[in-house]
Parts: sequence; structure tokens; C-alpha cells
Amino acid sequence: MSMLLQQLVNGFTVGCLYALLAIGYSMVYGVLKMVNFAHGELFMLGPMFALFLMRVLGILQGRLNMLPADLTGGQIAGILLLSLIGGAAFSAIIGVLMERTVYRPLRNHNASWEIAMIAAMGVSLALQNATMLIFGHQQKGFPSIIKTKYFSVGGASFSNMQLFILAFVVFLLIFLYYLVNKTYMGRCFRAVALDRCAAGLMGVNVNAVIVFVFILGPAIGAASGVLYAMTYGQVYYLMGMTVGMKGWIAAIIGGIGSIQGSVVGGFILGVLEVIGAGYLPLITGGEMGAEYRNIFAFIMLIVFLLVRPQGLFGKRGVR
Amino acid sequence: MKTGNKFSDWFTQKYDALERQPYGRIVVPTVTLLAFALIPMFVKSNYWIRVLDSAGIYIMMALGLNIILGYTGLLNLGYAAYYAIGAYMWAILGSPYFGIHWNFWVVFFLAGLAAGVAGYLLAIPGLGLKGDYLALVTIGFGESIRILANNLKLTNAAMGISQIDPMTIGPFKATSVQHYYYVLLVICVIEVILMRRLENSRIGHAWMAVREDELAAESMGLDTHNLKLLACFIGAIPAGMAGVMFAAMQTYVSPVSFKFVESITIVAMVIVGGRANVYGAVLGALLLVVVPEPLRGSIFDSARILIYGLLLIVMMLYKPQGFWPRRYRGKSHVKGNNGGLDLSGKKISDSKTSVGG
Repeated sequence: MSMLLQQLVNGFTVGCLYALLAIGYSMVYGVLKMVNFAHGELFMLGPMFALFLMRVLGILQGRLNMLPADLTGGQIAGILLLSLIGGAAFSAIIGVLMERTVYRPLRNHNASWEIAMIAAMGVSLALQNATMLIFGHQQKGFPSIIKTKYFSVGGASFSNMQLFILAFVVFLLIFLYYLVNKTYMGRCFRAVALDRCAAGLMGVNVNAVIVFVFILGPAIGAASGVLYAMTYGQVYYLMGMTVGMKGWIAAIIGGIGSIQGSVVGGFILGVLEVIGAGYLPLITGGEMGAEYRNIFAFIMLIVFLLVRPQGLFGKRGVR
Repeated sequence: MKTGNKFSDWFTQKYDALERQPYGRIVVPTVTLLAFALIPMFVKSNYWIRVLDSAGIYIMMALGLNIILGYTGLLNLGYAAYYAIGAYMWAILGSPYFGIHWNFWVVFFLAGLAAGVAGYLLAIPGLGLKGDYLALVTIGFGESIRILANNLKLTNAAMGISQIDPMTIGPFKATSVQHYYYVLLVICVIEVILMRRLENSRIGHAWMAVREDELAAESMGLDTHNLKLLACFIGAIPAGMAGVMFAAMQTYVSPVSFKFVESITIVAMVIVGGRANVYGAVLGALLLVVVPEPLRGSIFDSARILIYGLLLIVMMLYKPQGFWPRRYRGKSHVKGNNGGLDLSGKKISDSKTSVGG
């Protein structure tokens, strides 16, 4: 029982990060009706750039990229803020560049979705390989900026990192809710998501909304990436591929295009995946272990596509 | 079809004119075939023949993917998984690892069938609602196959299976790269002929109709869902066969050979060569295998994926139909890929609000 509780806690934390990624996929899908294949790369670029920033500022020491032990609470908060905001800003810049140089010309050519998708795949590969050429191909240590403390409740142990992630995600979701539902830009976003052509005819600046989405989505994705790197203690240039795919799967489980669906999808994927990976060695007697975790996400995708292809919050028959 | 590129237009025009001649239909393929058959007489280095061998294997796969991506317009990003299925089938059924030594050609066709069934089964959830779901499902499948191969005892985990039997034809055993070259040449020629027959058949035309405008195709009485499933089935078969050839040629398989990059490379071949054109796919495969070869070991080698990525972007922006696209008889109705019905298009996007698409 305590193991289940532990898995739930861990799964919920990972689920938070998937949810943030899925939101990015969903928002772009909402306005462009296209999956931004390169979103995973933006997720990876966040922590990469944050690490680079910390290196340049001389905060890190040693080959394993450790933080000095004698930091005060204020300094830690500063570094945390710096890496989150720095990573998010960098990804947002790349996201907007991507929109301006690739997606907008394609839109003006009236390209079909598969052409846009292949171009997005090209962007993803180019970003991935460029990152490898610049930052190297080995996995790099990423400092878990918060000093990790554990405390146990009912047999399951929480870390303060997990609590921070949860708080951060809740804060982001509230902020996002406000942004989408209460501001002018949010209203434009909803209008464009409903019908791009009609919104344009009603005087909504469609391109501005798309740029807005390409700032917000990558920024949230990159923040999620920084938290992911803090949790697992490393960054890797291929990380955007595997984790990004899970964000995409989460978005589909929740019903792509729907923001609340993405959040729920992320939680479901995170929890089920961690529980599955946790119990697989027990069921198979140690024959199959946690390395099958990625396959578990794939099986969930297949099951959801067969049972409820429009996703939990999607409407039937909407293309 | 005008593509806007002068050389490309000139070339297709000339080629068209040649093919319209009665002798053109016989002379051009014969000359090309002879040229390819004579290559081992002039190229003495085994290294380059080996490169051409792997080009042959990629041609097999590019032709298969051309059915899925070119004719039917479905994005399959896990094509290397079918390749892996074929390669591991021969590795398991024709090596001392389990001590099983089956007949090569039996496994060759069995692997094709297995890959086809995998493609078919994947398409069932993948074709559910939206086209882009298939892309995700196939990526996931590709990754899953690789992870399985990397961990299962059946495939000897990350160590891979070695000492795989070479190809045999009756009592004849293929030992040198030249042997494989000729066998691959024959297989590729047969495949090209089959593909040409297929694309001009009722099914081939139906696939292209589905790609151009699914709604119109459906209202013409085509069962679009079944057609797509069929494309996924037939399109995967050559990959399984190519995998068997690969395993026999290399005598060693390991999960490293079936990364995501491999799938991307095959997609790039079809895109660069020209979608929905058999010869385009062949050209694309030859180009992407032979051209990067002299750059091996230099800085360009590690930047290869970057170049592929940029190539895909540039192709999609300026020549989405590839260098050697399919020519359509009569008036060209292809514009972008939206078919004729594009009401939300031009007018509004010209006035800088850019809607539609």
C-alpha cells in the first residue's frame, strides 16, 4: 500500500511536467491545427540554456555541475528563478523564430498538414543536432538547485522538490487560466482556436495570436524542462525526443486542443506510467524492469486511440 | 507539372518527350539497367560496392515508404521498425544464436509478411481520427521495437546477434559484396516494375485520390479507410525484406542500426527524391546514401542530421513535391496539396491577414 502511495506521488510529479508539455502541444494545435513536432526540442533547450547560463555566470563548480554547498536561501531562489526564466525566455525566442521562418511561410503557401509536419520534423532534427554540436553528445549533470529534503506522510516520502514542482504547476495553471479566460489576448486566442478564418475577418490579428502562442507554449515547455532536469539531475540532447513524445501522448489522451484536457492527460499518463513501470518488475519476477517505461506510454496511447480516439475532453467528430 | 525550377522543368519535359517515344520506353530503362549492371566491372573498390549495396537496401525501403507517404499521403515515422523486424527475423532464424538455419528465401518472404502485418495493425489505431496520429503511433512503435530489441533475451539485448548466415540461392552462397550487389539490383528492378504496375492500377489511382481529397474520393465510392490500411500493409512489406537482406549482408545486427534517425533518413529520401514517383524515390535513396559517403569522418558527418533537417525544411518551403515529382497527365490539378477546393486560401492571405491553410 505504501508502495502504491509512493508511486502515486512520483507519478503525480512527473504528470505535472507532462501536463505542462501537453499544454504547449495543445495550444499550438488549437490555433494552427497542426502538431508542433519540434515542441520536445524546446523542452530540451530550456534546461540546456539554463545550464549554459549557470556555467557562464560561474555558479557551477566541478565536472558534475554541482552547486556550491554554502548558498543561502536567497541565492538559491535567485538561481532557481534565473534558470527557469532564462530557459523559458530562450525557448520562447527559438519558438518565435521557428514560427516566423518556417511555419508562417508555410501557412502563406497554404501548405497541407503533412507538409507542415515534415517541415516541423526538420526543425526538430536541426535543433537537436545543433544542440549536440554545440553542447556535446554526452549526458550532462544538472544541479538539483533546491537542497533536497525528504519527509514522509503515511509511508510515502515526499521531497521538497516535488512539493515545489506541484506548487509551481498550480501557480502556472492559475496564471494560464487567467490569461486565457480573462485577458484580451486570451479571448483572441479562443476565437482563433474556434475558427481562424472567421476570427481574422472579425479583426483579430491572427498572426499576433500565433506569435503569442509560440511564446507561451515554448516558455511553459522550457520551464517544465528545467524542472525535469532538476528532478532527474541531467540534461541530454535527445531528451526532447522521448519526453516530448510523452507530452504529445498526454495531449492526445486529454483531447488535443483542449487545455484542461492536456492537464488531466498529463496526470493520467504520469501516474499510470510510473505505476506500470513500478509494478512491472514485481509482476514479471524481475524479468522486465523500468526500461520498459517508454513502451508503457506507447501502449497507453494505442489503448486510448482505440477506445476513445478523440481524447477525454475532445468532441467526437471534430477534425 | 511546372515546379518553378528551370532545370527540373527542362528535365521533366525532356524525359516526358523521351518516354512518349516508342523506343524511349525500352531504351531508357535498358541503358540505365546496363549502366548499373556494369558498375562492378569498373569500380574495383569493395568499399564503394558496399556503399551501393546499402543504397540498394535503402532503395527497397524508399520504394515501400513511397506507397505510404507518396501515394497515400500518410506520415509514417517508424519505418525502421519494420526494417528491424525483418533483420531480427533472419538473425534469429538463420544464425548459430539459437542454432536454427532456415532457408533464406522462406524467411525473406515471411519477414515481408510480418512487417506488412505490423504495418497493418499499427494503422488501425493510427488512422482513427486525424492524420497526424499515425505519425505519433509509428514513432512510438519504432521506439518500442528498439527498446525491446535492446532488452529482450530473444534478440541478445544490446549485444546484438552476430555470425548470421549469408544469403543463399540453392547451393550458391553469396560471399562477396559484388554478389549482393547483383541480387539487390535484381530485387530493386523487380520492385520498380511492381511499383510501376501498382501506381498505374486502380488501387494506385485510388490511393492518390485519397491523398488529394479524401472527401471527394469517398463520395466517388472509394473505401478510403480500407485503402489506407492497404497502403500501410503493402508499404511495410519491402522494409521487412530489406531487413533480411541487411542482416545477411552485415552478418551482424544490433539495436543501434534501427534508431529513429534511420526512419527519418528514409522519409528524407522519399521527400527529396520526389513523392509519388518511383524513380524519384530511387534517386533520393541513391543521393542520400552516396553523397554523404565521402564526408564520412569529417565535421559534416556529425552534422549530417542537421543537414537532413535543414534539407527537409527547405524542401517543404520551396519544393514540397521533391526534385523529381510525379507528372500528372492532362491539366495539373495539384496545387499545394489541398486539391481544387480551397476557398479560404489566396485572396485573404494575400491581404496580409494570412488565414487559411
